[in-house]
Amino acid sequence: MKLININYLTPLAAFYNYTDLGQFGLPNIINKIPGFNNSQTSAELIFKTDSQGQVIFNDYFRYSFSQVFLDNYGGIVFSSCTTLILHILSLLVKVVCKCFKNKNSKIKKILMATSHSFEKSVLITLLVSRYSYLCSALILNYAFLPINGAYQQISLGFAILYTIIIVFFWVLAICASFYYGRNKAKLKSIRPMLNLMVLLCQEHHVKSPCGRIMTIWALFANFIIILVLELLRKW
Amino acid sequence: MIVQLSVLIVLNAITILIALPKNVFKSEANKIAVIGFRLNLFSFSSKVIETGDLRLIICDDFFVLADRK
Repeated sequence: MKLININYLTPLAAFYNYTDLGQFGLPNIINKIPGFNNSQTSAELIFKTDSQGQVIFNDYFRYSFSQVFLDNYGGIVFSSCTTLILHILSLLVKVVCKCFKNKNSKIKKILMATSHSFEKSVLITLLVSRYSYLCSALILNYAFLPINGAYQQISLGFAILYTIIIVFFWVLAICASFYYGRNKAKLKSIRPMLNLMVLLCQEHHVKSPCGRIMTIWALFANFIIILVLELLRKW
Repeated sequence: MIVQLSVLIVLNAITILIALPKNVFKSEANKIAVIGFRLNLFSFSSKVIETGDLRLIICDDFFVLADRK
């Protein structure tokens, strides 16, 4: 039996002095890839261990899924997989809906509404729920650039992928703040993509300039706050 | 430390200022939640800077028991 904190960001060992190097909470299947053992050997040196020689934090990628209950939404990679599964499920529901011949079927309507709701909310839920975790993982990754092992390289690959996703959402949020009045015609081409931001923007008034910039400001301010706190030891 | 605290104060203050006008949020509850969150975040961040323990950002009180294979 061992007590582990799953909420603890699994950052770079160099930064936290101990823990594994998988900032993105990579699943334990990664330890089967070639080269993993080499990277672990180097990492073991900087693991902090207790009196019995057990690693204190963040070796949860060694645990099987059934053994570790990932609180909230789990690690970023785990959350992404969950999101992907939910998305596939919503697509399956759509396919099932097509099997209904009766257009006025109540069940069909409910299923379609559920599927649309899922599609709208699933991506943005991932972004919002893991935003601070994601920002800090990216900042740490780029600050230390871990490339001395297969596990670290895969983690860096995830960092690049998530950077693209996060930048995409920032650009969308900027576009959403300009999507008003005459600009609507200019931004017509990105209208379908703005649907992804609906959940983030729907609580703000579009008519007020402050309301329009609130979404992008919240994303930007939170990122800067994480950046400031992460650079704590460098200033 | 002063620089960091200043940045945090400025960011949170701007967010509160943007949230204060009437026609920003559709419901008052959201406005109160955002302002409350910002004030809380500031006090929390100050604690992180004061103690120098970055783990406070990410750590909640959640601890999980797991059997080791």
